[in-house]
Amino acid sequence: MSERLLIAIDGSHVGVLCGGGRGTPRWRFEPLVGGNIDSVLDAVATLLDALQPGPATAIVWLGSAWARLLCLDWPDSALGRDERTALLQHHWSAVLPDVAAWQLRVAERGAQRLSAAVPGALVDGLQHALTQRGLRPASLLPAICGALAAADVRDATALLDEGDRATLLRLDARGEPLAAISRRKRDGEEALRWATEAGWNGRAARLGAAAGADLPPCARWTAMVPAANERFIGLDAWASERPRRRDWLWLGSGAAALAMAGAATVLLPAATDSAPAPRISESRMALVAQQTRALNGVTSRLETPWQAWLRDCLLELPAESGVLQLDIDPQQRRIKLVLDTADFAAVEAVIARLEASGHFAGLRSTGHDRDSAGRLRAVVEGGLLGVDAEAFSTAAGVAP
Amino acid sequence: MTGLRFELHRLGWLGVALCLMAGLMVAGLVASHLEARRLATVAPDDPTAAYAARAREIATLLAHFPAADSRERQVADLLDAATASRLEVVGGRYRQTPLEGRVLSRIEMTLPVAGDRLAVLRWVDALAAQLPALSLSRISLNRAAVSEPFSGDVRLDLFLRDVP
Repeated sequence: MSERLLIAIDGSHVGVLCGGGRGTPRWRFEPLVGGNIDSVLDAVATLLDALQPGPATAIVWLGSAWARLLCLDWPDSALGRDERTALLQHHWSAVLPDVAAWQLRVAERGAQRLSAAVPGALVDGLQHALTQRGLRPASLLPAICGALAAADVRDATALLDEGDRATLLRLDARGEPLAAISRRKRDGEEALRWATEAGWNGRAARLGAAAGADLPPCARWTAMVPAANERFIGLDAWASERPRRRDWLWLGSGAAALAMAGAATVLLPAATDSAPAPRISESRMALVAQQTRALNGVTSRLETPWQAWLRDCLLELPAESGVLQLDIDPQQRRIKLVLDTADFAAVEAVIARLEASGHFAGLRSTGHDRDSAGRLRAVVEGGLLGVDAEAFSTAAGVAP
Repeated sequence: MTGLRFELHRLGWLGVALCLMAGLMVAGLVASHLEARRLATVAPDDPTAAYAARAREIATLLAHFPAADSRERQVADLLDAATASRLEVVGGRYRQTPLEGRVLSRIEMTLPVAGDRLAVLRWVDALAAQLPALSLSRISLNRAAVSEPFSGDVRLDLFLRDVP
């Protein structure tokens, strides 16, 4: 976090306070030689070079020698920006000899009636001096406005005693400035007495610490820097570039758009998921299922080891036995053989051989007779292995 | 340009970040919707991945089956193999029926045959090599004595591909 830097400029001195936050505050001031803008800028440059502050946010308070105040009655608060500027120049032209040389500021928030004029060359010179040294100009205010922001005075006459000058602001119950006056004190005049006798209000509030009268006003102003960030009252030349009240509408709109976009991002896919998605039609899904069943059945049929059955029965039997009848029904998973053998021992040998092939199971003789030569004709029946009977139904075909 | 910088200053980093995030979200949303619409246009039926995979499997399997228009050549090959195996096929009946799903047809062939056991075995081996889409439906062979040839019926099912 960058530290804060206060540059306070009164009619006779320039002071710089730096090292806020966790650092040790450093304070130096220089007397003004010549009392013109160049001498102010020279003094500021000298102090900054001496203090060598790190990256910092700079706040500038200008005494009444450098900043003028004027309270205006705007005929219509809804005036446009250009209209307000023109009206501001009109009012200030009656006060300042050369309006063009001054930066005119009108409060765009906070104290709506208060306007300030600051020498343009001073603002530009300060900005240049700060940015040249890596400092960020953040706020430039008349000192009484900065002090008001810290004091929160209402319904009174606020007084800022500035050495040989005094500035009065008459404030209503809402803290809105109604009138402003700044003048050089007469010899020995007590500023508070003058403020009380000014007749604006029965009560006068002195801004800032009364102690330390031996210090220049700019040194005493350091005690009035708000602990938190300054509460702008709308006259700030630099702070005007920051978000103003109506900009919060933009920020609010942005936040609302963000929230809506976020909600849409979350909710829309969910809505899409819950909605019936465009899917393949049920008939096409059913057709694919039918094709899958048919192919599975056919594949199973083609994997039936029917060539092996025939080879086992016609080629692999013992030499003394022969097949007179062969009936293989894969659909029923049944096999029937009529064997020509010498005796039942040969039948038993045939059954053992066939079952050893792994293609048959449950073979047994179910009958016999003998031929005219006396040879045994044995009927053997059993089951087929490696057959998916269901495949015959799924691959059986359908009515065209 | 100056006006833009001024507006950016007024918005502040928070405002700019919010606007950028909102813009990115909206852009992402629009992009995803455009992609969804494009996909819906390309494949109105939105075939699921499972369906597409199954369809590819079916097409791959079907490619191994002879086409339906090769039916006569398949039968001729079968009879030629019998002749070469010295198995006599004295006739034949053929009945074609489509299978479920209409991508395959079954040619049910009933063939009266005559020949010795070695002829039968040679023929069977030749069929396994030349007509892999053939399956046995039933076989009944008889002979009066071991020294005589077999005769009987062989029922085979030949499966043909109905789709190009």
